Amino acid sequence: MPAKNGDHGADDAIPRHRTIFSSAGPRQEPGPDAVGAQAPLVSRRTLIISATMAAGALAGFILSAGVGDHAARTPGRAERTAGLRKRIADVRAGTQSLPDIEQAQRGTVMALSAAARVAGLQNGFQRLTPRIASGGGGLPRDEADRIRRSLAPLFAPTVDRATLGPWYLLASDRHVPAGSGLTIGFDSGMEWEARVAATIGSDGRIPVVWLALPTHQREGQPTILAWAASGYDIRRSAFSGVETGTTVAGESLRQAVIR
Amino acid sequence: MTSAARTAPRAAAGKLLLAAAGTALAISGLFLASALLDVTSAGAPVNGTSAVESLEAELAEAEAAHDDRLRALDASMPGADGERIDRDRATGRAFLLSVIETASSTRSVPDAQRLLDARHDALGEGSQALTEFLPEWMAATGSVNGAGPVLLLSQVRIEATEIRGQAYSYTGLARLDPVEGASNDAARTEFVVFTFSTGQDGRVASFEAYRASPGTREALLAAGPAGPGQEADR
Repeated sequence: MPAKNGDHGADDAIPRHRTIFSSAGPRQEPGPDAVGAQAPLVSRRTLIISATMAAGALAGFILSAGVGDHAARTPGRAERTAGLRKRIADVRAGTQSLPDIEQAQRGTVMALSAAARVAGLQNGFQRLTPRIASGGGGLPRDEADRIRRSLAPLFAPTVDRATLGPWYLLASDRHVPAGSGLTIGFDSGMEWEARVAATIGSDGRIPVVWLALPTHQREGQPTILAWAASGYDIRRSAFSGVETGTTVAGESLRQAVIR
Repeated sequence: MTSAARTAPRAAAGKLLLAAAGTALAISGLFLASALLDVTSAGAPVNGTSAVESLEAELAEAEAAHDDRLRALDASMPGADGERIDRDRATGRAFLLSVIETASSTRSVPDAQRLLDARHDALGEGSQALTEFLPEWMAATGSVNGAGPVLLLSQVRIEATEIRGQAYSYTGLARLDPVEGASNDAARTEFVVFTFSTGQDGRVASFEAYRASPGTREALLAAGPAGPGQEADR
């Protein structure tokens, strides 16, 4: 006969509270082994410890999800701090690389001289234009290399090879008589001019701009055919970071060169 | 069955339960530690001040020190007024923007020429900016076929190139990008090289502009926003 609830027979010491871990199935009348059969599968103490740990684990998961969510709400923060650190390092390095006043004043004179020299050498490429045009755009190697060798010391070693070639040649120069073979005797339709105002750029370099201007132009109204911009690095006594470009008008009058 | 044989499964079940709960607790601890580490390494508040704020302050300090050194250098250069150059740069930028904006918002070249001629003394008779740049720019950007694309000045570099007494001359390179989501599909980034000079009164005395060729445009785009070895205007 099945026992009624609360009817545990003689064994009143057995806890009435049963757990899911207690033995399943119809209750049996307590027998000789009633203590072992009716006792919960785990003790109360174990159950409490386990429940506490489970609750702790649950709290841990909830907390980590919350923290993770907070991190997700601030995406790119690590990248931002890394970016800021890099900018700080760059600015400090830039400050360190600034020349002192004496160096800057001496550097200005050197920059003016070097900029004029570069313009003169770029103008030297112009007398090669008739040969370049007749040769399908190829540079006469020997003469071009001679000019390149003169240009090279004026630029930082990091500049690309194109910087040491002709920046801009005027197509109409192909009809100009070669003259004596010297640059000064070649009546080019354009001229490179260096423009330096002796100021210090924020990177410590002296900004320099070269303009390719037509030699036959109306007074006060130059048409820029091409330009080049760079900065004179006072510490290295060389131009670095050269940018060249042509205007739309200049492009239509340009002599193509195979580099 | 003996009592010992009956208690053995109970002991095993207890151990199993404890082990499972302990493992869950350990894993949750690891999860929490990992999440906390992510947040703190990303600059979570530390000692009341965030790492980002601290770095920003450090950057501002470094930039201020850099600017101080530059100002001292500028002041030492003979004949160049650094403050005036900064003012003139702003004036030149505004002048360029006025020309570009008029070109974009006007439907015909004569109208744009008339407006700019009336607005700016520096664009007088025979000004190439009016007679060559404006028609070419409006044709290239499609302004003559209707409302032109809205191009925003995204970057400009202006260098002082000549100082003669109180007359300062400048050369600049500007990058103009189409507004995002512009209805004009043909809108594209353009570069303009421009020159201008200012007098003692700070007004623009002369101004010329030239659109960069398509080849140059591609090269500048490939070289990056500031160009090779160059830097943005201060």
